[in-house]
Amino acid sequence: MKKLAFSLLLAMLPFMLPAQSLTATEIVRKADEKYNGEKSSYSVMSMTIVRPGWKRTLEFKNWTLGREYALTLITVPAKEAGQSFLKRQNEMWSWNPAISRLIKLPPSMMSQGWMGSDYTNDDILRESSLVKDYTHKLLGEETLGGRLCYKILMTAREEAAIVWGKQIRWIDKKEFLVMKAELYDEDGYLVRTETGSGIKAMDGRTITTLIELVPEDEPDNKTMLEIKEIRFNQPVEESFFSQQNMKKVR
Amino acid sequence: MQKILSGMLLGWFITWSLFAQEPRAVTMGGYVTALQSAMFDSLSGPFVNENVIHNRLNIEAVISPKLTAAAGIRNRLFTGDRVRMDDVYAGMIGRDDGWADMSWNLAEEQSLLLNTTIDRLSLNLNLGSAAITLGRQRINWGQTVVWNPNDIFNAYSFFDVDYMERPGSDALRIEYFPTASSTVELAVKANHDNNITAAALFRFNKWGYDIQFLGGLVNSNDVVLGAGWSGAISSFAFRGEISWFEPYRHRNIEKSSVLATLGTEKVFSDKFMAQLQFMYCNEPVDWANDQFFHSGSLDAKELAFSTFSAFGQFTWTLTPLLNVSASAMWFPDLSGYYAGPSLNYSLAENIDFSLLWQHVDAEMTDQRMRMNLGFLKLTYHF
Repeated sequence: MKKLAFSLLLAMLPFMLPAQSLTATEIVRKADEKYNGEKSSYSVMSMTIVRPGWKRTLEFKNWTLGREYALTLITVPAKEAGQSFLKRQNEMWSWNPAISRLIKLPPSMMSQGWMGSDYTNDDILRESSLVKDYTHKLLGEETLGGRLCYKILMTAREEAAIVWGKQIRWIDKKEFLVMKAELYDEDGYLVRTETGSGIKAMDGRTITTLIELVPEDEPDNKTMLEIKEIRFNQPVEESFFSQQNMKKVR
Repeated sequence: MQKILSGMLLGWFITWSLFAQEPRAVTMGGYVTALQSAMFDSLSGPFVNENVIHNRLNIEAVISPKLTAAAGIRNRLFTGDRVRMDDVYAGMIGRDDGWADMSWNLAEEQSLLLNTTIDRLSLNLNLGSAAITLGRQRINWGQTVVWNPNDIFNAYSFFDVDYMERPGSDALRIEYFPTASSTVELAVKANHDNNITAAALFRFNKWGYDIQFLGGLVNSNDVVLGAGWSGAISSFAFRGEISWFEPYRHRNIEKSSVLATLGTEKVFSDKFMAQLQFMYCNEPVDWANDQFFHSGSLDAKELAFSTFSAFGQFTWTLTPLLNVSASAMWFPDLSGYYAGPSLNYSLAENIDFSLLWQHVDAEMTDQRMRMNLGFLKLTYHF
């Protein structure tokens, strides 16, 4: 009996090894690259702000290159359509076609709710890195939505300029999907919870296409992010992320 | 001549828009607003009421990957006391300060006035890291929030609540982008008196700041040199502009003037934003009373009524639908101030409701002026 168990264990070892050899940091990186692409990404998303009694929807296109460069173009609603946002390293600009004005955004804008949502500019333009700005610790495994997940504690590095103190992420073991994330402030209070659903294959990858964000202090409020289209590792040059292109990107 | 040329430009535009190879490449958007306003010096005094139905169309046609055309059309229907009682009102509305006259009073009756204005009409040629734009366009060189001495092509009055886009310039503009965050611009504009504004701008990004230098001629009358910047000190935005205007045509009657602005803004939590701006001008203009709320184009050197001016605004986003703001200006030379509370509420996905109030209390041409302007505005965006 013991022998059988041992040989079974031995037989399973090759399957267990790759998973076990992944460190918490590698799991977070894999989950992160799932969305951002290893190099670059292009996506079309909609964001719906839901409050008791009403909702508003915003649609935008988003181009990214690594962590450093991002360009976002708003396509809906009509009032804001054509506005674009550019991030190059630590700097951010907005372009407003109605008044033909390029505005350099101050750093305090980074933590501001983006276009009135529960998302911050930091979330949209990916200022901080889930991999580099945190230390990661595997807390264990839990099943969420029928999927076995790693439960990982992410503690913000002291030198990192980010709004969160820590995060707990539930990352699906098989596909590295973020099924749930709890985001805590610097004092350790839970600020918001994100849950992933709508699992689909897009551009050859299995991803969660719906992310629901609920602020802890206002549980009736939520913001839903839907990925309508996403392409990974598109050939895009750094020069694409320019002030000139903010004005003409469509 | 001007009429013929602007007519030709319009003709080309329509032809291109209609016969562009891919019809899908033509996009149109805009809005319709209904603006009800009342002007009065005190609640017990007479009111001047006005209603403006305003329709804006923005059209863009992608003719080829390199060539695009853009047009902005403003249709306004005025009814109310000013149309009925003010003899010069129709002329003022129908006036076009540009080189081409593209503002038409289509109907001028006892109680109504219908005006159509084309305030954008341009062709844009993109050549890699350069772009050439010809026609009526907005050239916005401002860095600060309210007063922009660097905005020599299209300086505007803060008080015009129904014209976010501001007038365009009839200009040729060449832009060159040496890097992703720098630009060199050359622009030449003519106005309705055939006065020329021609200037160059160089803007670049260094030490976390956008920094710009400009120089040129304004209205065939002044030599202008200017500089501006945008950056941040800790979490406060820090912006500024300075322009020096030296008259060369009316050297004997006009003096050189310097305008400088300094401003900051900060976002507190998600919901509050505070803005502050100061302006200095050694030669402030003497405004007649009714010019205070001047609409339409303005000279960059005519922005100041007082040697020192201060502006403050506080914006509070109560909910994503409801925005409340309070702004104020202080003009020490006029022993006066301006106060402007406002409210904006999103009624539905594309429908906004706004309530604005402008109050001025100032010493003007040796007379105390108290004026109130209240606005109710309903906007549908499409």
